[in-house]
Amino acid sequence: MITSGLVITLSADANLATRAVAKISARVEFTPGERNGRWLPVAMEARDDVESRGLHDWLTALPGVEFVDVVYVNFADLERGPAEGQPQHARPRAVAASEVNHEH
Amino acid sequence: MNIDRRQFVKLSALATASAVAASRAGAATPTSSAVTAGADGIKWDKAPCRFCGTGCHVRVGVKDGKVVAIEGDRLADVNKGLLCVKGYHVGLALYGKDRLTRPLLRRNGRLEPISWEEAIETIARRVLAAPDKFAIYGSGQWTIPEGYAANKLMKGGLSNNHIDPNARLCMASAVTGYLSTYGVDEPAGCYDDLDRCDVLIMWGNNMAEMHPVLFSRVIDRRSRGEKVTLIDIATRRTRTTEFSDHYLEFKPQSDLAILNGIAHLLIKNGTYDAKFVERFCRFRQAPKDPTATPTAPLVGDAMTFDEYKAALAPYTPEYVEKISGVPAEKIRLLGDLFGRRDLRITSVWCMGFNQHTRGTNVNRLCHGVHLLSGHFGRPGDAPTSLTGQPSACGTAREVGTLCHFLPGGRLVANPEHRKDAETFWNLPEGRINPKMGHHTVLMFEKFCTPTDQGGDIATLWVQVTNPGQSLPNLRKLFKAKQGLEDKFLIVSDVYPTATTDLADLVLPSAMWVEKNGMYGNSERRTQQWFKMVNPPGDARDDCWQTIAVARKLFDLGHPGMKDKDGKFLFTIKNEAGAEVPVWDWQHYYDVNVDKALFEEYRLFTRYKHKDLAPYEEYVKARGLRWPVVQQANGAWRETRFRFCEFDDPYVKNGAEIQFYHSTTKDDKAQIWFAPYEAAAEEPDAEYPFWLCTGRVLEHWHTGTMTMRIPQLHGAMPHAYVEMHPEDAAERGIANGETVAVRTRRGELKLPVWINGRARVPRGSLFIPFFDQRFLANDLTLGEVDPISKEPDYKKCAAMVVRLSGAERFPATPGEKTL
Repeated sequence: MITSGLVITLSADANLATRAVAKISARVEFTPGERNGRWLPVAMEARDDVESRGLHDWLTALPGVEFVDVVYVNFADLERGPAEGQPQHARPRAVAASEVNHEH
Repeated sequence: MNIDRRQFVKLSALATASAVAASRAGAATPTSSAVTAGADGIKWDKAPCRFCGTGCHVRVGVKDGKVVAIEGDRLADVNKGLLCVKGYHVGLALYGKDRLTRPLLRRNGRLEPISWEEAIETIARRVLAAPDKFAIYGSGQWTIPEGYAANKLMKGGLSNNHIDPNARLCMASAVTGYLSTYGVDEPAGCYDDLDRCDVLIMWGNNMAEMHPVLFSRVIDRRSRGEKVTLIDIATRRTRTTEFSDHYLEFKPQSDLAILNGIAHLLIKNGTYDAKFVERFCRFRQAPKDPTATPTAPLVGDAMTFDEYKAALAPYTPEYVEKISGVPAEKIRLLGDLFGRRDLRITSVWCMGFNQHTRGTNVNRLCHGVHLLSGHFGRPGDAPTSLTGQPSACGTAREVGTLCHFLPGGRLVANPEHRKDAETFWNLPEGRINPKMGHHTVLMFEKFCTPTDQGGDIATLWVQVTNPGQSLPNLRKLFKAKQGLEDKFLIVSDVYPTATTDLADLVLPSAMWVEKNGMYGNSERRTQQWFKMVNPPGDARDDCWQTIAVARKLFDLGHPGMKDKDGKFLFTIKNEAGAEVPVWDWQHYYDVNVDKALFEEYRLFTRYKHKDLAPYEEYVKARGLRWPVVQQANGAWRETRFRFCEFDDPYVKNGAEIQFYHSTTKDDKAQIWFAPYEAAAEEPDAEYPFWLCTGRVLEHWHTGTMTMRIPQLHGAMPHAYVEMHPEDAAERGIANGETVAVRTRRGELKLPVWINGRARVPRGSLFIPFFDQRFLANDLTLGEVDPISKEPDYKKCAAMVVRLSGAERFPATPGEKTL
């Protein structure tokens, strides 16, 4: 489990901002605090780093959200340990053109 | 996770976020932190972030000997509780699975574990065999005590000035810009300028992604209803552009012409600040004989205002448009803004100016525009460079780990400066070598050249950086080491890197909160932290490694390891006055070595009025900006705005502004003229593209730490080449397709990203350098600025070749495509 404290900067457009707060509040992964002007404090819980990243991406893409700043992260209970090593030495294997993924 | 504990952690996260939100909405800064020390078994302490030069403070949560939580430090003026995506993951940088944990010696082509004793003895015997052929290469990731110890070992112990930091590759042109303008290095202003400016000009600086916390500081002002005009002057559109009021896209290298165009307009329109210039400035140009004295290129030749005006005469808006591609009306816009006294203008820059074959000149011109227009010396009116490494200023520049410096802004070539250092270090007269050592590019060139062909560096010790990935023109300056049997590369690091790939000896190092440390950030702020967790395995502090080698040399009889009283160069005593054998790892933490070295280093800092406070003052603070001067009541006061009477205690009463280290010895700053000159390599028929390299938001420097943090790696898994859609279409290249990018130095195959996060103009390419699998610096140019010796990573000529089917490959199997 990764628990993060986020500060969300909401849009100056009041309608967009209100809709964004409603959508954030509707998701169980987020616990919003009291809105302070254009800033909304939120606690976010994610099972692992993949889910954490996905939730972060969802927030940043949400209409009415201008910025997402993370101010607190607790990763004490990350199940596989704090971090995976990233093997940097392996160069990607060569493959035939037909194998190349052109989706974006 | 236990539900009560889970709830507790969640509430802690929410409490912190709520406090920061309130602070951003304008509430007063708290005087204590939200999370209680010791709650939930987590012990909290302060530290500056390990990554860039912004100098954000984090609070580090430790439990059961491991870092388990990070929060932004709301008591820190720099970041006020905010962190960027790298900062809040900084704790995870310690826990990659492949941390180096034992010394490794290459035998028969393989790195094999050895003891620390054997490792230290191996280094000492290499040094002893040829002390003048030994070099140390460090970086702005050295803590202040680490850099100081390495500098003292080399210059004070071995009489050898072949020591240089990675800062040569990123900040050297800013240094020469400041020195030649004000006579002393580092910005006059500070981050407070960002809170006060009406106009923020970002010169080739993608602040939104490279210094995001500072950028948020400005954007927050807008969110509170303040008006701040942002101007992005750049060679490609980035996230910074999206937030800017004006985007001026210029042709590479032509920033020189734009700055001259502004100065031209200020004079032509009569809107320059004649009173300010008359009182506080002189005019300067390149010296006719730059070899006349060691400092001639920095001092230059005098020129009159009329000569300056005549030199600028050709730089009309139309002429500048022709050179730069920036419309003449936009040049006039800049001229008009600088011509207004009612606005406060802050300029910021980083690698765009510095990594430039005319880096010194473009730095000078920017300072010159601010001085000419009088946009200097009021909060919000400042030309300020930003740094890329956490202690590029504190260690590389202030401690003087560059090959021509001694600590505190002194020069090895100056007899008085050498005498000062010999006095502080209690060395016999004449110990310090007056000859400048090899700068970075020359150091690696000499190391990679066979000894019988003039390669006069035989043993090179790299600490806290990764030149195997960050040097330009890697084939010439790093990879050529392979096969040179009489060359010996020592690398102290925390993870395997492109540099350890060619190392003969690898030393496992402690990092960040695994050791005590001090950094100095971009705004002259010196910061301190304590060790919080143990390093893994047998990893040890870099500073200990340096002292242990010095002691082994002492034991082997090297005379330079003794001061003039015969005592060991690094004699460190405990509070009772007894010497502590800190070269023995078992006793290294019996005393605070950082404190002892820092207090010794402090003696050097008064000469250039970069006064530092006692160590204990930094323990209490979230950093202090020098000069830190003791007040009548005994308190230590930092300085936000240098050279200004209202804040700088070294300015004479009534002077208003005083450049007290002026190169002309008359308290005046220098406004330089420098012409537009073409880049060292420009596109042509064979290599039709400009190639620029740089960073991305998620990864820091060569990615050795951030690529091991799953969240950051997942967000940006591999390097790419940005290409304009029309350039790609002309060549039949699709988004995500792998292409070969070639320059006269090498070739790199990597995927294309079209209209991605950033957008390059036609005829331009951009490749980030964080990915060891795609070495951008196989392609870059090794040409350097003639004054700063800093290489240009931002411009060279390249071609793009579409690959045949059999040669294509995805970036990394199983990873997401762009």
